[in-house]
Order: sequence, then C-alpha cells, then structure tokens
Amino acid sequence: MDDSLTSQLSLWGAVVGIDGTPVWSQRLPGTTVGKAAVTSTWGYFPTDEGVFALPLANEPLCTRFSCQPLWHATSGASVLSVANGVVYDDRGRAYSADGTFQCGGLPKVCTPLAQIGPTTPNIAGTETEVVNGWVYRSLPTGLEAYHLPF
Amino acid sequence: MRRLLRSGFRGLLVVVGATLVLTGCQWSMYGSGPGRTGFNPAESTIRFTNVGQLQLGWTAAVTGPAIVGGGVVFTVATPTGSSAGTAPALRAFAANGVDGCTSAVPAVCSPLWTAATPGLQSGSTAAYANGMVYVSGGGTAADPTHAHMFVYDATGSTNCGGTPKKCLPLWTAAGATPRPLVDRGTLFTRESTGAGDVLAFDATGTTNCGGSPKVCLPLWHGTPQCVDLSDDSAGCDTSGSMAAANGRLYLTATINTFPNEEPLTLGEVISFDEAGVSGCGGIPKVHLFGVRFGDCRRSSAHDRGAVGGVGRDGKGGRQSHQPAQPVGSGRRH
Repeated sequence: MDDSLTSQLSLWGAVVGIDGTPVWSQRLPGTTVGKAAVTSTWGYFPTDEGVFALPLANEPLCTRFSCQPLWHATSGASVLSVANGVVYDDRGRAYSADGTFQCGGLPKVCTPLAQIGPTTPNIAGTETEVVNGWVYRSLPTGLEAYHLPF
Repeated sequence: MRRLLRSGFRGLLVVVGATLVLTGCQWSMYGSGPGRTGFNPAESTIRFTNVGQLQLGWTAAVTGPAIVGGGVVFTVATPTGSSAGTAPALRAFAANGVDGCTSAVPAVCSPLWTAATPGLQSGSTAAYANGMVYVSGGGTAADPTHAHMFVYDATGSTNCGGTPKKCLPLWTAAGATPRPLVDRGTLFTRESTGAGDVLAFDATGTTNCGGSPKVCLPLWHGTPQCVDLSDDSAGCDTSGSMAAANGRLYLTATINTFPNEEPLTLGEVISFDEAGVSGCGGIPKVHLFGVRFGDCRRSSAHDRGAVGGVGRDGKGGRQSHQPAQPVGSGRRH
C-alpha cells in the first residue's frame, strides 16, 4: 500500500474470524464510527457519513485490505439493528438489508424504505429494538413502540 | 503495516464475523444478545414490504435504554423531563402495550413494576435471562463501597409488592458493567476496582450463592491484558465492551498513544473461555489471558501462556492486580 493512500486513511471497518484470522478490512468514509449490526452473512457499518453494507465472508471483491460495499446509504448513523431483511438506524430510518428495494446506481446507493417515528436520534448509544412485530425506540421524549396495523 | 497504523488509523470497527452464535426470540440485552450483533434472527413479522406501515402503538414517559425479554420491556430510565442528575430506576413495561396501558391510540403505558436500584447509572442497560433481569448498580448494605450487580425477578413476583409494585433484588454480586452480559448460564461483569477483572457468576443465582439477602461469589475471574500492536503505544485500556459467542467471551481493548504521537485508536480483542475451564486452574479459577487477535500475525505467539511476565500465580490463587500494560510497551523508535 503506497504512502499517498495510507496518509488518507482514517476510519476502517474490519472483519476478523472468530479464531483471529483476518478476513478483510476496508476504509470507510467518515470520522466517527458507531455500532455495527451483523447477520450471519453481512455486516452493516454506521459512520457519520453513511451506512455501509459489507459481506462477512471473503467475497471475490474482498481482499485483506479491501472490500467494496454491496450498498451504502448517505445519511450518517450511530447505531444499527437488523431483522428480517430490514436495517434500522438510530434515527428511525429503515433500509432494505440486501439492497434490493429503494436502491440503485453504481455503486449502489439505498434510500430509506420508511421513517419510523421522528427523525430525532435515539438517546445516545441506544438501539432500535425489533422484537415480535414491534419496533422500540428510546427517544429523549420517551419510549415509543411501533407495530403494524391490527 | 506499521506505517499504515501510524499514518492515520483514527478508528477501527472490528466485527467478529465468521461463526457468531445468533440468538433472538427477544432483544435480551444490549446488542440483541450476547453476541452484540444487533440482529434479531427470530423476527418474522416486520419485513421490507410492510415496514412502511408501522404506526405508533404505545408510549411511556421515561427516558433511557431499553431491552425486551419475556414479553416485557425493561428500561433503566428516568421520567421524561427529569432534571439532570435524577437517579434512574429499573422499570418494566408490557411489551405489547396492554397491561398497565391505557386503551387510547396510541396507548400510554405505566410500569408493571419498578426497582430503585442504588447507584444505577444513566445510560446503562439491563439484561434478561433465566426469568431474571440484571442491572449494574452501586453498593449494598453489606458492602456499600463497591459496585454490584442487582438481579430481579423479571415477572415482578418474587420480592415484589405494594401499589405501585416495587421490587427488591433476588440476589446481588460484586462487579459492574453498564451493559451486563449473560450467556450459557453465566453472568459476566467486571470488577469495579483494580485491573477490572472479568467476573463470571452463575446467572441463576445458585452455585456459589447464599446468605440472606442472597449474595453470589464468582465462578471464576480473569485479568485482561493487551498485546502491544506497535512500539508507539503508551498503554492499553481494557475497560471496553464484552461480547460472547461460541463459548468464548471477548473484550475489546484500546491501545493508547503517547501524547506527542499522531492520534491512534487501535483495538484489540481479548478472549476467555466462557466456561472457565481452558486457561483456568485451582479454586477460585483464574484465567490466563487469551489474546486471540488484534494484530492477528502475533496471535499465536502471544496466546495464553506464551506472554511473559503475566500469568497465574501457579497455585491457583488470585492474580495480583497490576495496571494493564501491553507486553513490550515503552519502547520507542
């Protein structure tokens, strides 16, 4: 890796096997990183410049020091959750986890499928919990629980 | 690689990805489960085709992190609008917005029960397992100077009473962590003093537990230590978060830099055998640290037992408390 590139490095996501084996690492845009969400195959990484969906396994386009996102969203986030094909951020945005819906372009950019409640961020560090058909958000104005119409 | 590290690693987000155990009929602790994945694989109702139809079902006028277990939402929260410095309490709400809630749309819910845990920290979360809820608080009557875990009956039955219902703990244990972790029947927390040892307790409050009020002692403890990633580091902070998967407990640690160096924030991950078998010996069990990765190239060379200067006392006794220092630190270019 040449110096001109390393001098620009700032924020990295990385996947490491549970036995310590490195899988890949990738520079992520932004200056702050939040809490990722992880399924059995994908990692969703939040930074102040967006949300980035990357494979956990060594895909053909992923090497030790590079891995291209399947998709990304341009709105920053701090904490992500994922359930049943939907990625939730801490501002009430919901994205298609596999980048299928509300996504397009090359590289692929996704826009929210939905806005759940206010755009106000959750209380710092808190997650959007998704359980049994309910979505819970811990907001500065109180605890809010959302569900589908009965 | 050294050049890369020094030139600008300002943050590193590591995902332990290969074979995480995924839990998920509930959001039982921070990160959904012990793996801290933020993933609920059991959710089948809300999907990308209907997420846009979600509507507000109920609200509660409390402010604080929540978890969900056993059909109950547990919050470590203060009443919304409380003045700064108001002590939070553990509050339990019906997850489906029925019990304790108005019939309005959206419903307004009141707690099923509350617990005024002493020393409960704002921003901390509860954990749910075994029909119990675990929170990190302060001192007890018997030991007022050390932080403790407080464990309550999640159903609000045992040790609970009055109107509105208030609960007292089923048992307590020394240690503190803002995000308690329960996995494979073990409660993991951190010692609040010294080197911040990992403490492992029987999460059911049975083994090594007794007295009235019931107090539990650790099944094992271990002292986390870092392996230095570079000669530029000035020490290691092992007070990071915990996660568990595949029978191992993982701690994140941060390598610090000298003040005159470029900002450097590097992570290491330190792991222990959850069962307290591998790397332990004697009674009480004391873990040798097991550095699994961080700088993966060095993981095998620095695996447990291979790092000089730190280890068991050889008699099964407790390790002396030393400030956590990376092996080989202090050397400069």
